[in-house]
Amino acid sequence: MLGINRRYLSDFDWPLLGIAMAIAAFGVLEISSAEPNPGLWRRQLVGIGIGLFVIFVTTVLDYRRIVNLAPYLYVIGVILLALVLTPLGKEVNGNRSWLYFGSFGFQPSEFAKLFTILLLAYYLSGVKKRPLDLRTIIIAGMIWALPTALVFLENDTGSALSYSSFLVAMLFLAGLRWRWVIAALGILVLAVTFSVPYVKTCKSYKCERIKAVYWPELAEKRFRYQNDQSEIAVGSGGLFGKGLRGSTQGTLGFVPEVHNDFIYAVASEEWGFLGSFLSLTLYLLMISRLIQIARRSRERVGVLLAAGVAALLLYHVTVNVGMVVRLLPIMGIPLPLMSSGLTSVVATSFGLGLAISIRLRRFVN
Amino acid sequence: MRTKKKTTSTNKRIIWIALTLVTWMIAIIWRLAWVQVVDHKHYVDRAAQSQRRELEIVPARGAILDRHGSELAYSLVSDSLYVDLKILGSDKDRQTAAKALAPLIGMTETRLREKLTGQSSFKWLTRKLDPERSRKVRQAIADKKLSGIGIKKETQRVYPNDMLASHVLGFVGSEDQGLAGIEQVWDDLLRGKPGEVSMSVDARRVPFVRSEIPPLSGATINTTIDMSLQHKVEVLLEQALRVSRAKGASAIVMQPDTGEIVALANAPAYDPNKRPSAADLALRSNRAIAFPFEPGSVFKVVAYSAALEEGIVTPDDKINCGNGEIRFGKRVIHDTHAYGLLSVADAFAKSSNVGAIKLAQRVGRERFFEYIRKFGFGERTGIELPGESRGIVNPLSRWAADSIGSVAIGQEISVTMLQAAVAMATFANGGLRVKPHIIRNIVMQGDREVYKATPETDRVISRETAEKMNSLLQRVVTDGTGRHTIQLTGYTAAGKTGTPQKVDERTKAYSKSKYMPTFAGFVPATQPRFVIVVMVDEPVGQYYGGIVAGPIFNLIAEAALGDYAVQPDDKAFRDALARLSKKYEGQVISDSEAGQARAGTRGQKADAMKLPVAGSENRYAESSANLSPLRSAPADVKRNSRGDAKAEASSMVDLFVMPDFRGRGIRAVAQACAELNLSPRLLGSGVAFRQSPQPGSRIRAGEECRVEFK
Repeated sequence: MLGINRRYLSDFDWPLLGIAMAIAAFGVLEISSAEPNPGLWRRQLVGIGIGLFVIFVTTVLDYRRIVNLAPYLYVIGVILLALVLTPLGKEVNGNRSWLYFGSFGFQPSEFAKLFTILLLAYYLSGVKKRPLDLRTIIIAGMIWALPTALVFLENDTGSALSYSSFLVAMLFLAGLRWRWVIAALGILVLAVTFSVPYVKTCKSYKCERIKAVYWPELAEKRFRYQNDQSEIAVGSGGLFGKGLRGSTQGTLGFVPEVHNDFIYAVASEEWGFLGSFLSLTLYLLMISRLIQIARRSRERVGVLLAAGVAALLLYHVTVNVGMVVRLLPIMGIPLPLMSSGLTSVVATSFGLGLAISIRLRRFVN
Repeated sequence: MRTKKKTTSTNKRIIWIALTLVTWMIAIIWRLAWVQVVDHKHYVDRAAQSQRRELEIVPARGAILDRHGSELAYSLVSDSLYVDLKILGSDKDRQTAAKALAPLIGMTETRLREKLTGQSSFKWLTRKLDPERSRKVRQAIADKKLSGIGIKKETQRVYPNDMLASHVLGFVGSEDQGLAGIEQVWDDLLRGKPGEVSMSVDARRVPFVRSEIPPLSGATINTTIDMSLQHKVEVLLEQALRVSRAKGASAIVMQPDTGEIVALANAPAYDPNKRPSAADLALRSNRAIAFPFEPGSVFKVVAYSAALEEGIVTPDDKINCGNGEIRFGKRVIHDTHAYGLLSVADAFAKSSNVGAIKLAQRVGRERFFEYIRKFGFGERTGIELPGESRGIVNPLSRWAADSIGSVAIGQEISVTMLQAAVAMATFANGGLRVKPHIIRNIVMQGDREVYKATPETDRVISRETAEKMNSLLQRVVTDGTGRHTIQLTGYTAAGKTGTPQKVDERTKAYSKSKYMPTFAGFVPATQPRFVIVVMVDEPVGQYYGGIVAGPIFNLIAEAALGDYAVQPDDKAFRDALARLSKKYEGQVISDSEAGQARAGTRGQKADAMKLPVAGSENRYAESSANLSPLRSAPADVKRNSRGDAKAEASSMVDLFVMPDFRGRGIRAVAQACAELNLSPRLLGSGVAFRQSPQPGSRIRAGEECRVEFK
């Protein structure tokens, strides 16, 4: 019935859960180091507890049954995103992405991403045509566009872009023609090339953030500041780091949002190249495990779902670490499982739960 | 259930996603390796840069003290308040700061709020707060957690006595750098070493860890200057300047045995507290050591002492002064009066040019030149002051045939006043040349002596010759060119006048109207305590050294002898006094009564010391010190108390200044009178309110003093 039996326990993806928990534990440690205020890391522990519960529930349920709920979940997600734009929403650090019910607040976009992945998997797995026809692409695009537009309206560019990451991955796996893929890549390259002169002169804060990374001498000092400080934190960590609680750049307020978006800067400062390499390896293992799940899954829906989750996590890790080490502009993207924040941890757990559920049922049917 | 089997092409495509993952990982790891390993050092430096803040702690510049420890120059360290408006950025913070600080720094809130505008990272809010306000401001900054408001220490040089000893002290520039005098030579020591506070700061630049290297405060310089005597000398010079309408005047008072300069002054003086203007910059040079001049007749001491030392003449030998005229080469030199045959002593006393030239010729060029060098002319004395001139002594090779005659009478040679003082000290010292000092020692951090003046002496002439010269110099005062103006009551004096002509800048010949009357000598002649050199530059009217410089010498000598309570040495004076006191003996108070009074005093002293009251002894010491009419050097006090019998015998002829008894009790007055050997007549009871003689007037030991109490 719920499927808890010996096979559930033996087939459960313990390594993936182990990796995820290792990352989460490291996150709690660094949060406690970056922000001595015990409230934060305790909250994070609560988030991890909820996350474990979500993983348990998700894996006990057959993921196909969840996929079948996708249209409803999607609608709920879109409604929540829309509510953010009403007075119920709240702006934090320039992004209006928070929804508050009394004192309980969360970021609907984190869940909406997964609901969108679910709906895309639901829809694309039902399409028989290979390669994908234009109609399918447009419908998939519309599924993508609605939440993306809402998130964009919330001024959360980083999250809006994250929707593209799994859309591209899922369309690609669902059988997008190579020529489309190449055309899309070509258009992307051209768009980037031609936008360079514009970005260099434009003064909006988004442009400034881009300039701060690629043309620091053109950027305003106050936009460079966060990049500089984060880079200094990472660089001053050296090979072996300054040790736990050894962070000065992070804890003294030089690096912004230390416990949150910039937790990786503190980790790098305290544990050096060794620590940042190892933690990155954990993410590599986690995401490659998800890709392996996608490969092993016999059903298209499982493949697409696992790949969508993998693409989303890859995007988050990429953008977050990229901005910490000054390879990418600063965007409000949390580092999955490490950054403090209940919504992010619980949503990531939900994604991992779906993947584990796919793996558990890889031999069924 | 919409389930579809996947195709193999899907699996291939998954590889592409995995590749993206791997590519990105490599990019990040490459970047991490670069930042964390290769460029690590660069980022550590940058981290330190943004997390460290260093502040210099300015040490107070060391004090310059007179020989008794009074401050001639010191520095005040005060707090100045500044703001970094980049840190104190928000309007709310600025409002809070203005509200909290305005009343503490005596500014209106709106005025302070106006100052707190803009983005400047350094702006003074107020300078040099007094300590009490500074404390309150610090408190407020801590309480209100005002970031961006800081306190910087600033020092300010203060010369509390304004013009006093300005040429000795020098002055400092805007950054407290010594620009003249002691301030310049000893700048490094006076300055000390600045300390440093290193602070670790957070992003708001609020310090949370601090380590401090304390500053090494500037050294204290103990000079040999006597502030009181220096003041008197300066007043006298200013007076002389007014009376003679001269361009300038200088004087040096030196102790011949130690070489310590007790007073050194140039008039006009300047106020070192004020920044130098172009006009008074010239005044700021220390002419007494920096300005070489042709010494004229004062220089004759070299020819005479050389001739005596070489055994060529004795003071009583006769020399023919050629009716005031001597011709050698093309040159004819005249005396002011035509003298015929004179004794060596008389020729010196009357400052005969002919006599001096003849003696120098008999000594011979080489030997004469040697003596010039032995007396220290042509080289710096090495006094601890900047800008000392070595004078101008031409080497023998550049002497013309008639040069020996010119040099003998102090022409074709230039010396400084300090060199003249050293030469004069040589005679006072029994033939030993002493190195002059103006600094006794320099002390760092209270006890570490980094410089100590050590007496250095060189024998120039024998003791016998020095004694002969001493009596020759006394003759100048008693019978010679100084006899009209050098008259010290109770003391003998020795010295030499000089009236050098200045070289006219236009004609390059000796001026007929511009002179530099000089007098160099020492007192008392029998037991020299002070060498005094006085020079007046271009007086209008009278210009003879004896007439113009003599009286100044006389007044300075009186002041110095009085200040240092030197025992009168003039035999005639002592005899006269002894006769006088014998005549009055027994009329007012008998010797035995005086003796009883003294015994009583001692008894009281003993009682006072036995009293268990803490500090009673000190009180006694204080009261007697206050009543003492003499501001005497500690050495003199010691000498008196040691040779009690001797002091008692000579006290009969001591001259005192009448102390001010007013406001004192009977007991204190009786005690003081006993100590001073005065015969008291004490009327009434209570506190003294009237006395005779008046305070400050001269009184001899044994005289009656009348004090009324009520």
